Amino acid sequence: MNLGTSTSIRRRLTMVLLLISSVVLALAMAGFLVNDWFTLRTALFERLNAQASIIGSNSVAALAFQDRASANETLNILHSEESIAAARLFDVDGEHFASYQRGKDVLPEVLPLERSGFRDGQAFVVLPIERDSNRYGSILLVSDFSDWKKRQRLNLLTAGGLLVLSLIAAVLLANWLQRLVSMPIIELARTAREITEKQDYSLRAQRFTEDEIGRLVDDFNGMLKQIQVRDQELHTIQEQLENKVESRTEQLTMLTKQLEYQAYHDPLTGLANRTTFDNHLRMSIEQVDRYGGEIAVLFLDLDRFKVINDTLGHAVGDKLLIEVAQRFSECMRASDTLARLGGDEFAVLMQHLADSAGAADVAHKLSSVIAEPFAIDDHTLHLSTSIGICVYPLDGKSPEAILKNADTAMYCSKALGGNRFSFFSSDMNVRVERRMLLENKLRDAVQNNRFEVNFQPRCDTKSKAIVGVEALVRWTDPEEGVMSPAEFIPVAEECGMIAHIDEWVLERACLEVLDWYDGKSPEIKLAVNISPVQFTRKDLHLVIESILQRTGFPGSQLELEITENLFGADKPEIHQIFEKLVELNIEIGVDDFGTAYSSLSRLKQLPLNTLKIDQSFVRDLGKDVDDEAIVRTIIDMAHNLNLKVVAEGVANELQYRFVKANNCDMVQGYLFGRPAPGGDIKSLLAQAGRVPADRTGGRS
Amino acid sequence: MTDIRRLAGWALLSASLLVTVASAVEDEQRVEQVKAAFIVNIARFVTWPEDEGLLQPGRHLLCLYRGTFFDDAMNPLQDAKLSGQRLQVIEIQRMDQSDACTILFLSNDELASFQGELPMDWQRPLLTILDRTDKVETDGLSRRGVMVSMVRDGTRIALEVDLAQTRKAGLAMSSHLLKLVRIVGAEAKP
Repeated sequence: MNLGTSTSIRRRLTMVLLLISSVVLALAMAGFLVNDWFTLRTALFERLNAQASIIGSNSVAALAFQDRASANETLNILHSEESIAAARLFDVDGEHFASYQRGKDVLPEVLPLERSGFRDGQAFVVLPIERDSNRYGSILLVSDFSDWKKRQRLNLLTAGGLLVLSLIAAVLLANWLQRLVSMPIIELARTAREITEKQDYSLRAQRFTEDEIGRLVDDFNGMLKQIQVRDQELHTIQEQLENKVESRTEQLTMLTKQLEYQAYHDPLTGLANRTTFDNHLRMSIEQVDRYGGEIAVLFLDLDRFKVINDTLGHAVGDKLLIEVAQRFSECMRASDTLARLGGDEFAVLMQHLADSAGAADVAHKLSSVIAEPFAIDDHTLHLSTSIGICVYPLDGKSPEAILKNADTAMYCSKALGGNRFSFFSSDMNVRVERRMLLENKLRDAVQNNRFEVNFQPRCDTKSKAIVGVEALVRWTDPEEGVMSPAEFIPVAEECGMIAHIDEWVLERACLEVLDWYDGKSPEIKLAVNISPVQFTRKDLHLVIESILQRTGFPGSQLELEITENLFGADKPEIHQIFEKLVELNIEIGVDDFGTAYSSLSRLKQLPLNTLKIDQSFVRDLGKDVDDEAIVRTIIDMAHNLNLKVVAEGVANELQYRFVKANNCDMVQGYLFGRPAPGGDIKSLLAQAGRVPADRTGGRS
Repeated sequence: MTDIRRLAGWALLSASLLVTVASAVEDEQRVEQVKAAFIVNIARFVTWPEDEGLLQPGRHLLCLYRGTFFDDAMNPLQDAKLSGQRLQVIEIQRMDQSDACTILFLSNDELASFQGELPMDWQRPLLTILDRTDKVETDGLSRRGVMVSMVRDGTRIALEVDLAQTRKAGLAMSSHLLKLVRIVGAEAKP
């Protein structure tokens, strides 16, 4: 019988009830049988004893008087007792006296020592035969045990039958009774299974009884209620989670798209990035290699963007770049690729190029759109770009070479002053390398302070007396010797080092000139060149004021020279800076006047003091009537605007006489003095008695 | 040699005679012992009346009437118990000596003397046992005063009881005994 965990509770209950009833019944039966056996046995022996006692008693006299016949007669009475198999009388000496035997000989010759017992499967008793305490002999009575055995068998059969009947009754009762226990449990299990199958926690188990199972049903239903609440909460949470997952998935998808976009686009401008540009360039080159034709790469670098970025901040720089990208994009065809390669570098890939002129047109268009002022925050920014153009397959054989050569061409444009485009040519590499070398040297010079200041006298036209000096920066490279300012100043401007150089020159010149006058206010004007890019700094006046305070140089004796192209467009911020400088009593002069296109109205609006006629006009005075007319016009115009005029580059008397004749206020040039170290100028002034003589003995 | 043989023959004869005599003596003794045992056993099946004052406390007195027979056989009876009382054996010569006796044993040879001493209305709770084993025939014998007679029945000793005399004397005799005996006298069955 397997009553393992897989057996149904009904069957197990039935089996348990059956087992209990069977064991109890069997034990009861066995008890009864054993009891019956002992009772019958006891009764048997009691009967035997009684019979033996009677026979013995009746045989006393026979034994007493040795009357065997009488004894035999008495024993023969036992014939009517079927249960008695045999009997024997023994005399007092234990000798056989008389016997009775029903069937076979079962009697022992010798009197048994036991009073009762079984012998050869038959019960026997031995009783002494006494009278008045006098013993006459013994009687042995042997019972025919077969009847007793039959009765025992009958009892056993009866008990077995009763046991079977009881078991049948027990089966029926157990089958009926187990339902009292199992039915509520089975019903509970059925409900639990239904809940599991339907996932319906609103179902409840039916309560049939008030007992422990009934309480179990109550607890089960209570648990179900909690599960139902939890399930509902879980559903709610699941929905929220799914919504969140969906939202997160959307976010991730967007992020993926964004990352994918960022992988191929410039995050600031939204243009293609270098990776995309490289891919497009590579594919375009493959197309050209397969189908022929030409493609062009335009490498663009914004001129002096770094200065804007450094002075106005990255936020302004970024906005400017976005605007630049927007303007560039408007110039593109659908088949072109415009990319931002990094910083202020852009690149254009032009496919299906008919000829080089098409690339030039685009370069020109790009230069034009960027030339328009940019209104970023409160700033009006003027920008130009240097463009290098490289054509495949003419100027390179690989995407890398094409891009590098376009970069080289761009550097050439930049070296030529920027705001222009250049087609790549093989000799450009030399120039670019030169420029890069120069840039490195310049950084080294700034770091190691390899600059010095020279001064060129500025004289009154009429008296030829020195009325001022122009501070000029000089740079002597350990390897190349004296470097030309015309070569390194643009590089310094481009690389953002010009501010450092200008400030250093200003401070150094102020200190030297003051030194000439022993720290007293100088009588001459000190003119110092300030790069136009400096005027993008809103704090320029603060920087200059700081230098004046540090050096103690009077602002009234300082003139800042700026180039004419600073006034190209209306720049309110420049106007503000000028006003701040005027508040410091600083004068402002326009250097190299005539080389650009200054608006007269702008000149009039600004608080200018001096115009310096570019030496290119002065150089041909007396030879070129046009230049003479220009110079004469400039002088007249300046005077009309109440500006003083300086003619620079006056190298001979002819030139001097012309400007003098035309009422030029001041002259500057080799005729009056070459740029020289401060000590030399001081000597000149000392000779004229205008400054104290150098006690250490300066050059005279 | 002849003498020796003769002597030996005599010796053997003597020995055989001795053995025969010894055997006869032994048989006689054995019979007497049986008779003695019979006397006691008979007495054990008899109940004396208690109100007669006959029985002395603690003992039964077996009186041997004028007889010295089987004295040795009677020895084992000394101190035998009857109904829990010790049995004492004495010999009397006359009946006037039998007042204390509860049992009287007499031989057939002394029957006449016994009966001669008895008055006609003799009636006492005295169990009288007569040994008549030496007589084969018992019919026609006067049984006056004799309640139990030992008679020979083949090789065995049988008992005859005069039940009327016994009852008249106030003695009660067990049915177990009566089952073995031959009732004689007035209550004898025809």
